[in-house]
Amino acid sequence: MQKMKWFVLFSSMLALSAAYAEIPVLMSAPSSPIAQVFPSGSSTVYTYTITNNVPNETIPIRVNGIVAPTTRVTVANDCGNNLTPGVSTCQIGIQVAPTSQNLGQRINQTLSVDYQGRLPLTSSIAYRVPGLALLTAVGQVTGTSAPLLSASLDGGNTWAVETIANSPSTGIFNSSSCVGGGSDGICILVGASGTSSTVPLIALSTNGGSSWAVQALSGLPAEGVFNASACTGEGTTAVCVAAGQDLTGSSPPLLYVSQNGGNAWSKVSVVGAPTAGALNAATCTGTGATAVCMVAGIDNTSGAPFLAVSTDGGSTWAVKSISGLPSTGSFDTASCTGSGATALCVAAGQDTTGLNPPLLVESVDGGNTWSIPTISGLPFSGVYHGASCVGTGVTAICAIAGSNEDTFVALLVVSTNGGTTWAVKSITGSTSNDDLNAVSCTGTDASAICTAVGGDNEAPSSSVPLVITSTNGGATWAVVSSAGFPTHGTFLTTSCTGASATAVCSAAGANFASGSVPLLSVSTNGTSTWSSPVVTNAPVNGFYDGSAATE
Amino acid sequence: MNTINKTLICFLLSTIPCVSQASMSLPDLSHPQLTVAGGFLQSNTNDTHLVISPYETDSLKVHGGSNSAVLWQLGVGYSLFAEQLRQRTFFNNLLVEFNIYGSGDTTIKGDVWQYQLPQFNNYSFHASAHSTRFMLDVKPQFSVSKTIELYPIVGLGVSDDAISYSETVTGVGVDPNSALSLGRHSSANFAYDLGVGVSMDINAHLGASLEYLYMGEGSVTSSGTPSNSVALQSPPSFNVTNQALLFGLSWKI
Repeated sequence: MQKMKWFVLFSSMLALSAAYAEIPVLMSAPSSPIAQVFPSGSSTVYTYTITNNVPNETIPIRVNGIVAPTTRVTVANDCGNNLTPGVSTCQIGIQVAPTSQNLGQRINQTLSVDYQGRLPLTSSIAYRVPGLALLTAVGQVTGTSAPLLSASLDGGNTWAVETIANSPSTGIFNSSSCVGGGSDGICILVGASGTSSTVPLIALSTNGGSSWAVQALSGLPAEGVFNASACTGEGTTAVCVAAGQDLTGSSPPLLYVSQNGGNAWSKVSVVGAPTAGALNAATCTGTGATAVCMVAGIDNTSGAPFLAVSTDGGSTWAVKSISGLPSTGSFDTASCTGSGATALCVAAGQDTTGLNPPLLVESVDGGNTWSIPTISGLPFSGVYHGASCVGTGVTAICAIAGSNEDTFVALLVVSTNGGTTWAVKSITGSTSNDDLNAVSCTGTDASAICTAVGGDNEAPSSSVPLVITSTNGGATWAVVSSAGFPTHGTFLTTSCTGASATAVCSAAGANFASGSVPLLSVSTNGTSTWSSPVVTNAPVNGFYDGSAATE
Repeated sequence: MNTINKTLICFLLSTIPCVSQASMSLPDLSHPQLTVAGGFLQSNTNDTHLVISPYETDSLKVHGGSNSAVLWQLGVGYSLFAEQLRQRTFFNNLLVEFNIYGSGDTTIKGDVWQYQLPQFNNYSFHASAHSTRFMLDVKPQFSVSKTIELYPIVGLGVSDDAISYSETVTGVGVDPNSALSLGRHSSANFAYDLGVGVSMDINAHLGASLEYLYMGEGSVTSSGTPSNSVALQSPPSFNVTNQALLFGLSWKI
C-alpha cells in the first residue's frame, strides 16, 4: 500500500511537470484572420507575436517563405533579426499588397520564422487575387419587354448585352448577384418571365460570364416573381438564394436555394413564414455549411415587416422575432458581412406606422438575435432603399441609403464600428429632391470605398442622375460632379468591387428624358472619375434595376 | 622463433605471477575448451545531450539509468602454459578465451529538456540499443579445491553497437512534428570487461561456471540524420556500461 502511494505521488509529479512545460519559442496567429481574397491595389498588414521563453540567450531569426505580393514589413516592436533573451515578445509584420501583375493568381505561401530550433515557426498564408471583375447590369428592354443583361468581363472597361440560352422572349431581371472571380466567377440573375402573368426566372453563369443560361427549376409556382438574390462563397460550394413571391393561392413568400454554385436549385420552406407575403431583399455572407443568409420583406397577413435567417448555408430557415418591430412596414433591402456567429447583418425599409419613419434592424451575432439601433438625427419620415456592409468585427462598415421625406434630401446612415453606433451623414454637395436608391461598398476599414446612387426626383423627365461617394470608409460623403453622367435619368442600382484606387464601381438605371434609355456609368479608379461606356448591342429603350460584380 | 619473451607475457597478464623462466615454449593449442553461457545483463546509461543548433542544446535525462536484457556467450579457449602451471599449488591454469557476447535490445528511456532547462521538458525519448562484443578474455585460475577454481577476468575487444532513437511530445501545445526520430545506426567501439568467476569440473570434459562481468562499451551514437525534418547538429551519444551474470557450461576437448 505504501509503495502504491509513492507510485501515485511520483506519477502525479511527472504529470504535473509535463502539464507545466513551456514551449521555448512561440508564434501567435496573425493579428486578424488572413482574408481569403485581396483585390489588386489593396494593402493589408498583419502582425504575428513571437514569444521567446528561453532565458539568457539572444537567438537569431530568419524570416522566409514569403514573396511578393506578400512581404515582410517593419512594425511596432519589430523583432528585427534577433529574439532578445526571454521572457520577451516582439512582432513580425507582413504586408499583403497585390498589384495588377497578380490578377487571377492564387497565392499559397508559408511564413517561416527560423529561430535555430527544432522546426521553424510557420503560418500558412493562402489567398486569391481576383482577376478582372465581372460586372452585370440587369433589367428589361422596354418595347419588347425582353429581359436585359449587360455585362463587362474586363473589370468594367467594355460592356455588351449578353445572350442567355433559353431566355424567355418576355420577362425582367430584378436582381443580380455574383461571387468568385475571373473565369470561375458565378453570377445569378433573378426575375420573372412573361408579362401579364409571370413565372419566377433564374439565369446563371458559372464561367465568369462567358456563357449564360436560364436554369430549369423544379416546383416553381405557375405564377410568381423573384425580387432579390444573393450569393456567397465560391465555386461549386457557393451558396445562392433567390427570394420573391409565389403569386398563386394566398401569395406566400417564395425562396429557392442553391448550395452548389447555382447548378441545382431547390425550393425551401421557412419556419414561421407568413401565409401571404413577399421577400424584397436577400443577402448572404460566409462560406459553405456555415454561411449566413437572410431574406426580408413584408408579411401581407398583418402588413408587418419580417425577416428570416439561415445559419447553416441555406439548409434551414426560420423567421426571427424582433422586439420593437412596427406593426406595419416592410423591409426593402438587406446586407450581411463577416462570417458565422459574428456576422453583422442589417435589414432596412420603412415603418408605415405614424409618420412613416425609416426602419433599420441589425444583428451582430450572425443573425441569431436582432434589435433596432438608436440613431439620433433621423427624419420623422423616411425610407431606406439600399444597404451595404463590408469588413468584419468591430471595424465592419455599413451604409444604409434612402430618402429623408421630411426635407426630401438624400438620407445616409452609416456605422463604422461593426454596428455598435450609427450616425446620419451629411453629404457635401447634396441638394433638395435628392433620393438614394442603392448603395455599395468595397474594401475594408478606413480605405473602404462606397457609392450611393439615385437621382433628383423632382420630375422624372428632368431627373438628374446622382452619385455620392465615400473613399474613407464611410466617414465622409460627397456628391460626384462628373461630366461622365448623362444630364437626365436616375440610377437605380450600383455595385462596387476591388479596393482603393483600383476599385471598380458601376451605377445603372434609366434615362427618362426621352422615354426610357438604359443608363450606365462606370468608374474604374476608385470613384475618382466616371464615364458612360458604350454597351455593344444595347437596346434603344430599357432600364437597369439590378447590378452585381465579382470580386 | 619458438620462444616468446617472458616480460611481454608479464605485461599482458600483469595480474598474474610470472613464471620464473627467462623464456618458455609456445602454448599448446591442441586441447581447446568450448564454452556456452547465458544470463542477464543490466545496462547503465548516464544523462547525455543532443545538439539541435548552436543555439539549442537539449539535455537527455535518463529514467532510472539501468535496464535489463538477456545475455549469451559463445567462446573457445585454450589453457596456456598448462604443463608449467599444473605443478603450482594455487595458480594452476591460464585460460585465454575468444568470446562472442550478444544481448537482446536494451531500452533507454527518459525526458528531453530543451535548452537544458527543466521548464522545457517537452518530450520523452526512447532509445533501443543492441550490441555484439568480440572479446579476448584472460582468466588466470586459482584452485580452491580439487574441482573448483576461482578466477578474475580481464578482456579487451570490439563492440558492434546499434541504436535507434525516437521522441514523443509530452508538452502541451508542442508541435508533434518537432519530435526527433533517428533510425538505427551501427558503429564499432573499443570494449573492455572485468570480472570474476568460479568454475567447477563436473567430469573430465564437462565443467560449469558462474561469472560476473563489468563491461564497458564506450559511447554509442545514434544516426545523425533525422527521418523527419527536425533540425539536428549532433546526435545523442550514450555512454553505456553493463553488469552481467552468466552461467556457463564448458567442454574440454
